[in-house]
Amino acid sequence: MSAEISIDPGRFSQFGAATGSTFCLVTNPELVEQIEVLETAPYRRFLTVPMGAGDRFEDLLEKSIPEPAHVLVISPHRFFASPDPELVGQRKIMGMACNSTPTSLAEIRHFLGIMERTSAAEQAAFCDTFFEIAEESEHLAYVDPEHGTRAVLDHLRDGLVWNQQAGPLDWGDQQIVPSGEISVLPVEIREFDEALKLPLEGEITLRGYPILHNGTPSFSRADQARIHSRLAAMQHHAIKATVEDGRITRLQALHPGAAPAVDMLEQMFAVDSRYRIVWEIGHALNTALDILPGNHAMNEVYGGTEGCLHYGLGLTPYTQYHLDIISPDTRVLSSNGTALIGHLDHPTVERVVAAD
Amino acid sequence: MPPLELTTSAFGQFGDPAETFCLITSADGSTPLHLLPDRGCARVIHRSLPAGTSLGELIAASVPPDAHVLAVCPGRFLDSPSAQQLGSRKLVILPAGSTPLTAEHIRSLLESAARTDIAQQAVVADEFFERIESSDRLAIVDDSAGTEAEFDHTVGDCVWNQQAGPLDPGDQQIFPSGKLSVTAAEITTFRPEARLLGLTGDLTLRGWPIVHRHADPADAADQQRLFEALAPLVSHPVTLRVAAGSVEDVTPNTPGGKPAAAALESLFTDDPRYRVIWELGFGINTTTEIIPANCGANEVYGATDGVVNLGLGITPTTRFALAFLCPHSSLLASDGSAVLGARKAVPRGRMRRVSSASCGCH
Repeated sequence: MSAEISIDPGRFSQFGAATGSTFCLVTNPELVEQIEVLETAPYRRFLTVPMGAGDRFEDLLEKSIPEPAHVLVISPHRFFASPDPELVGQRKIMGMACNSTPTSLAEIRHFLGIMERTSAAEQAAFCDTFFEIAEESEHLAYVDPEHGTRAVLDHLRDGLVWNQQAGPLDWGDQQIVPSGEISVLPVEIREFDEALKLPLEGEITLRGYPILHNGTPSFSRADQARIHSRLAAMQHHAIKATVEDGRITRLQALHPGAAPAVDMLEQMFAVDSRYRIVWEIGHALNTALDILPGNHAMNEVYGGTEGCLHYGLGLTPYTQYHLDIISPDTRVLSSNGTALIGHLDHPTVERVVAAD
Repeated sequence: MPPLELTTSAFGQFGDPAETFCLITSADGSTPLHLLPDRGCARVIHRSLPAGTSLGELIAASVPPDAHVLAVCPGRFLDSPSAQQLGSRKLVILPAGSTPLTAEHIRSLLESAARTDIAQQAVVADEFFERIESSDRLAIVDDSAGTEAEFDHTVGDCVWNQQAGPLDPGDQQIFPSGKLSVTAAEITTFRPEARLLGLTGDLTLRGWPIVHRHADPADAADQQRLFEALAPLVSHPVTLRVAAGSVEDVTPNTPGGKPAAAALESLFTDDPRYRVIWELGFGINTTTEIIPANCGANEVYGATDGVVNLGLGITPTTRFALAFLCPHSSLLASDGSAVLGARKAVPRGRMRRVSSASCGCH
């Protein structure tokens, strides 16, 4: 079978110069023959390491991936657990977010194209500006003028962690790709504690593109698709959510068409009340990405033209699902009225890949 | 791989063009660079450095006065020419003998050198020295490790060096350029009693090490072994407790740092002269990228806002000279503001900013 995907690692600007390093593709054995690595960049060598059932990435790091290396992980069939930072060593690791939602080869190809168009330097500059404005602000406001909601985050509160997944990679670093997100959580990203919450108060609008990520427990892809299809009603019809102390206490369909999504959210809340917690607020900034219709984890970093917000409920692997809601109508404003995400006085264009 | 093609005006440190540009390479005939004269430079001449001849001797004997000279001699340890030998020529040396560079590394360094903005580097160097002069005290901190060392640069002898910006006639400089440093004595002569007396506290090593050797190729195997023993410092930090410019104690910050810490301990036991922090260096070349190997030219690496590095030992007094890049460290002025380093790149504010790829949802 001829390769269906070509990867040119020299095009991923986060990695930096190739000279002296090995490029290592880690992928599932069933994909090895279907992904071709173009040997154009001046790497010392090119290597493909299969990650099959039962393989742990940390073991592969120790046994099969040399140093120094630039490592790209494409593992749609196995969950790729980010390695302990201590084990990364003289490597730079990019992991494609392609296991928490079903991902086909065609979709991987689409998002590889976005990775090639992503500028690490531009993303680093966006982040610097974001933090510069936010540091000077007394609070951050999450405003949807179209639907008349406003919530305020006490963003300087102790205990909040601002996690940047954007910009060039340093040696020993790892990044989820496509890159381009600044997320705020009430704790280090790998922990989950339902007593912790974001200091968010007010009303938020859920209108946009849900992404339903699965966790590691056994589950049915059919259930995941069914739940997602109900939530997808919010793409065209808005839901107003009341947030008190970082928890969603009330949902209201602003249009009858949003009812299936409200019903499904209520059912999720009923089964696991932790879904009420707004666990993550993601400030996405990948402006090279157009939304691919469907349930795709890699849409999460969609940054429109001026950055785009998403809310995250639940945290895998602790909850069965993690639900991101890309919310293009929401703008993030500093206390002096500067827009950190979105445009101050007009809505952003929604950039969605046209159906074939 | 064909030689890299560049023009003489690509290297801004030479300033106004000279009539003759001289490229000096090793005697083995390999020419990594095809250099074309342009913008007022009339000709490019080539000289190869014969075994047994020093760079200074070759320049004095066979390079026209006033020429601009670039020496790229893989595998040859080059001693700096004397002022008399150099005369009014301008000389840059790519350090390609004290560490084992491949042809790809040299190509990459030449490309970086051609892209380096020399005028900007001069501005950065001037600002650096202004800040240093107007500050009573300095400090080196590593925010991620939580360590801090004070450096009172008004105590004892401190010699400040600049390997950055444009050259004057008679000057010589590292290539690619971009390093500022302070030593306790003139940088080329080891004085065993010299110390950076004002340097006291904890310094965290976390980054690429460099192990330089002197001229004897027989040292190469041990050099490589030592580099490999220290290379885990890239992701496993080790903290040095320093008093009056000398290392008193080595502690791995995490269990993963134990082997590198043990290698350092053993080095200090074998030759206590390595305990002296001979040089505090500051890489300010923001164009070069790290060569992920034992590469002397990494000393100029300046990330986006400068990189602190430490130098221990000096060849040939000690068998090896070590440098440790500390891109997670910052140099602070007495008012606490960052002169250079990690905290200048990412100012420490009220928001806790991290970059961790571990979000579980992928």
